[in-house]
Amino acid sequence: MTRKPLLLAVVFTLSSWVVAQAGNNSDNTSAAVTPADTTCAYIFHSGSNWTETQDCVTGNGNITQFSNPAGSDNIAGGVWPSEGYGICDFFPASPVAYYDYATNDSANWGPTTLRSSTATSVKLCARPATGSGNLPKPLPSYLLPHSRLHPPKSPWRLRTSREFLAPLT
Amino acid sequence: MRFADIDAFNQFANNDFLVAYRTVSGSNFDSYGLTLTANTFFPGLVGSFILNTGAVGPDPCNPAANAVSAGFFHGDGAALELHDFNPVPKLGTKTVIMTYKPM
Repeated sequence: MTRKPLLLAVVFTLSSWVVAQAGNNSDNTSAAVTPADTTCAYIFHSGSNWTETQDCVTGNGNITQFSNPAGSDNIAGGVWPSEGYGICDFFPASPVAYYDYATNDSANWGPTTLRSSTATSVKLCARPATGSGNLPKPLPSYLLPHSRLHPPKSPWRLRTSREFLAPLT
Repeated sequence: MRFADIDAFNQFANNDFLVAYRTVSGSNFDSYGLTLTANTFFPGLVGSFILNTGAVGPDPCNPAANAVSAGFFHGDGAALELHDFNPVPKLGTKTVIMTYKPM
């Protein structure tokens, strides 16, 4: 009996972490801060019983459930899920931390928007809500394409990406 | 960096964690759990870490502050994969692939 029915690959894509600190940033208006969120927005499921695997992704790209086998969650049991990503920008005089761990975040992310979603993938993106024009303007995106592989051993592959673009100058 | 508070089989305590350069795993007494593996590791991967802070995520600007020094840990731990791309070229791209795999 296999207990490894799901293979999940996470891809981070970092593009254009901004070096320049100032400039005529046309996107420096304040944006509403997206609050941390643990709610399952996208659920991916495969198998049954001992091979059943289910994971869910929040609207901000956190994986707040990763269950296998059925009924066994391996990320905080779904009660206090804490999973996510963080980035430190060392270029400002004082490094700036961006993070989102589902239950809490750095409160400097702008609204998260959905780029695409299918039965096997979801891609989300957001910008920091710094608004000062003195901080980088990363554009993170989160890509979770699932694709069916060879069930039941590895029926799903999950990918995640998060990318950062230069500010508009 | 990617962080996951592993609570194997719905149990937040009494988990057994193991870490190597590319992999960190947490499991319960019956070996159910979750493994994070960095599939992309050169260049960029600093390493994998066990954090002893449970659900409290790390400060990205000091991510390994609460990493355990040993290669194993028993208790309420968490997994961390840390990459360093400094700098990421303007308009450039860096990609990291990780695997989340149940045990």
